[in-house]
Amino acid sequence: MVVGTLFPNFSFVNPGGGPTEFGGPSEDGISIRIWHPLAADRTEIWVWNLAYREGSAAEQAAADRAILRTFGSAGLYEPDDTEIWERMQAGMRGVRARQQWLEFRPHLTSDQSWPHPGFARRGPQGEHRQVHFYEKWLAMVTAEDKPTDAKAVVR
Amino acid sequence: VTTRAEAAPAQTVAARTTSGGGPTPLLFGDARFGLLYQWLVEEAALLDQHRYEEWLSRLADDLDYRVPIRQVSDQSRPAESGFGHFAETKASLATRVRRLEQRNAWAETPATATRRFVSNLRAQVDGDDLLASSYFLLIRNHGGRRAAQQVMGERHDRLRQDASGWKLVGRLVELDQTSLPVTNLAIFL
Repeated sequence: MVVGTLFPNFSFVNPGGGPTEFGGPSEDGISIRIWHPLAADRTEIWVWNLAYREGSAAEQAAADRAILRTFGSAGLYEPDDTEIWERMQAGMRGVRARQQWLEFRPHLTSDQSWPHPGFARRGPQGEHRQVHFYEKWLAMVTAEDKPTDAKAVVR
Repeated sequence: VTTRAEAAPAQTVAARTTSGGGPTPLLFGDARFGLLYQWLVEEAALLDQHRYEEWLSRLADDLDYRVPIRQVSDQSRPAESGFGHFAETKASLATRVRRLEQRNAWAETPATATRRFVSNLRAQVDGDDLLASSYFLLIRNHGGRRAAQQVMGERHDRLRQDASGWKLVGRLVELDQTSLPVTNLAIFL
């Protein structure tokens, strides 16, 4: 399984292959997502599925199934993710949650030998993506070098 | 419903369409119209009551179950895109049911309260098969949340009779909404 994000709102997921029904063949695909922020507590996700242009219709259908039956809106995994995301928003809205730091802990280290831009990690899923996302976001919103039109408004 | 289904005049259905060719509309008063509508209403109750094993027993082994993503554009386009919310067989739907039985299936733990309303049925006979086009409105209440979520659209179903009753052979669900109006589809349409 491979998951990743290109800052700020482009993500991809590859389930890693496997049967999507009892006794079915192993099928694999890649899904890309665009995260559209609608409000501070609302996000709309646009989902595309990738398939080989040269593939047969049957192979392309298999790539579709591999995504929609796992990380699709009705898949085996994604419905539970969306449920947790909504519960997190509800929890963060509370008085106690607003008073406390939000702690990122699991598997924060990145692979130091990664030769390409960005950060990568092998092994269990961690929260380093979220940490790197917020690091980048924080650096951008607190940067001294603001866009010129913003400066004009401030002055 | 099994009793009603067994009583359906399958021979008559076949005889009517062999000469004409193509599906023949059924009048509202036709016994087979009533059989179809009862089947759909009972299916809605099974799903709303989370009686998934009984629901699976109404699906044919060679079921083709599809919920494509609704597309809207200036030009006319085929309603069905390759990608969708569901592209299922009976085996893959049974896999979903096994998944829902797990305690960590958070989307349905606790189970959402759903009401499926089925109406505006137009029934047809096609050989030995019965065809049903109907409107559906699904209202879903989730945990302690105040606002209910709604999914609506049209379903095109094909039913075929076997030794144990009428089975769903094909379902194509045309959603009215392009963006999914529910948190997820950890339920069946």
